[in-house]
Amino acid sequence: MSPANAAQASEQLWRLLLAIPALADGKPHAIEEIAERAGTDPLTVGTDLRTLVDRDGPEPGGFIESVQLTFDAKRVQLISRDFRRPMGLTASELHAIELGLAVIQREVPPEETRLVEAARERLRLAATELPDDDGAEAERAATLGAMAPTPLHLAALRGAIVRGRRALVRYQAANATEVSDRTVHPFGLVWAGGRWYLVAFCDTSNAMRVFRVDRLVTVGVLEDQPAVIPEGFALEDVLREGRVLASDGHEALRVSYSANIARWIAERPGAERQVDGSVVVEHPLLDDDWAVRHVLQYGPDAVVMSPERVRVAVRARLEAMSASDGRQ
Amino acid sequence: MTTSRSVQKVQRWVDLISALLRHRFPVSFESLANEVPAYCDPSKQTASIMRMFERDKDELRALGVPIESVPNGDGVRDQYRLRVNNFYLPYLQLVQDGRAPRAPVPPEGYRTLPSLAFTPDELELIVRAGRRAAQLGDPHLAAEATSALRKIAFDMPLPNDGAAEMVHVDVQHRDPAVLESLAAAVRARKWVRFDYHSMERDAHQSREVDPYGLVFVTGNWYLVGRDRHADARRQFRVRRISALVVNETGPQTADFAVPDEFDISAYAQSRQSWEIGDGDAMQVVVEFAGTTGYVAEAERLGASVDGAPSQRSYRVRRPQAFARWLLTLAGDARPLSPSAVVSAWRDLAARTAALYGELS
Repeated sequence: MSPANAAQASEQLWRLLLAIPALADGKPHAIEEIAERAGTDPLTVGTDLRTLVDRDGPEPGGFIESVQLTFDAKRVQLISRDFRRPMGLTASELHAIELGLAVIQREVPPEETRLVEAARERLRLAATELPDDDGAEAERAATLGAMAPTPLHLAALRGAIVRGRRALVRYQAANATEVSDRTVHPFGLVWAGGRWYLVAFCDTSNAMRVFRVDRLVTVGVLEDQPAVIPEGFALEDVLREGRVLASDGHEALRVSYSANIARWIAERPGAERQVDGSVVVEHPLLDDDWAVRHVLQYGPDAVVMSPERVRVAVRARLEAMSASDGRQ
Repeated sequence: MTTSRSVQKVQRWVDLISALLRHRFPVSFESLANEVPAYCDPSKQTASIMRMFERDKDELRALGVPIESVPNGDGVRDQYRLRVNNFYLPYLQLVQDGRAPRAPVPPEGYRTLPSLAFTPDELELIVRAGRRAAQLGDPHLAAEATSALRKIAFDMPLPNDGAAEMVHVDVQHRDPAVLESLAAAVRARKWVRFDYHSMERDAHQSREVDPYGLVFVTGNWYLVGRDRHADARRQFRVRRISALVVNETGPQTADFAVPDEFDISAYAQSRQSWEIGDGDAMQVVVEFAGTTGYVAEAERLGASVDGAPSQRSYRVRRPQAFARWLLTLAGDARPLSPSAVVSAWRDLAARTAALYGELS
């Protein structure tokens, strides 16, 4: 049997081991409901249940002898004394959740890590235990790289989002020398490019804003102030080319990356290879300070092509650096 | 109409699981054959049916169905068992105000299944964990996490606050089959051969690796294992792996043992580019001038220097990478020592400035 057919068979088995217990009460159920519980569509779950009982040969025998299956256009009924509970979590399913818990453990305040441990221990009791299992759980690990004080802020903001409350945040932007207090309506948290961002409507700016969570100095939840979330808002809407941006339609920063580093840059979306081996990328340009820092991280292997004012800003920074270094 | 081979297999699997669950005690193949129609087909030879049974049993075990092989009175492992309590999901309950709700009366045959109570906080964490795992850019992992949550949702409604957070992983150019095959090789402990694009040398090389584990660090999956030619532990970014071949000989036999001291979680540490590498670490002292948010963030990455509040010390393995990072501070920070880093930083700044014309 080909790997594709084997995968198809295992997926069908898993769907059946969820669909059959969902019908365990022996009463008619809407096919849509059973499909949702089995994680598929009505047509597929209908086919699965029928193929379970449609056997070749005159005398099927075994498990299927005691099964009664009835269908109409929208409802399905199954009587069986087997499979009246779902199967416990498989080792792979348990490890997937454990991996997620390990990631979350680095994002919660220290006092909550015991809760993560407790959830992990409880979950293990819901898993099947394979004979000869020699600890394959060590096959994967993950981190999103959250650093203190980010876990405290993440926990507070998450609470505000789940409870639909405004928050008072003290924030220091990358290029600001002072912190500012802002009342925000938190919409959600997005992790992209190695960092957590808060997406929120800022009352102070009267506009949607994106805040880097590691630049928040303090976070306070305003329990008596409900947040107002725009209807139809989706976190996916703030992602553009892997960056979290509050608005679209901004101008483009055009950067040429030398052939020395082109292979790294070319791994990213939107890179244009040039005949000399260099790569040109257009980035959404939200603020000039970000652009200057972005291009300087590559030193002489990246140069701003446009807009001209960013070229001037990079040059001005380098001049200031040289002057300052010369004075020391 | 003839049933497809894939459907026939599912039918046999279901029949076999059902037959095993009906026996409290270990049972022989001969007994099972009477309850699994495909195993008592008179048109097939016994040896062929035995092979089919062995295959079905191994496949189900590989899928996670805990079928045990139990020795008979002579010590031969020709008896089989699937314990009800080790197969079915326990009855899951959500504790509210410190009390679990009254459990429904289980039907006959299911009364020995235990109950398992979760607090709302534990359930919320588990659901977040499942959704987090599903967002890490690995389709296989996502499928396992989603399947787990579906089982948990069988008894308890899941909290619906998934919109609160989202993890974005750039999956462009990634071949999901590579990650899935690597995960399978890690599980089965089979060596792998692949073509690897080494970015430092800009060269493609064939590698043979004993795959120990997979680690997701700040947006990328890495394979960690022993390079069989170098006889040394290495990390490989999965998206730079192509032409992957998993050793198919002896599928039931492990090709290697993972060293006892190996801990994949130790690789899940987010590090700065200048901290990575095999070079000797040096202490670099940096003087900060500004007070912007960017400076505050950079200062947090270093250690304090006694008697010099405007200075921070960094442990650096790659001086060039560190000098580039310092450039991003654009005049708000400059290295004080060692001289090698100071020179590298000045040289980088001068060469960068040259791209923008003469300085005034």
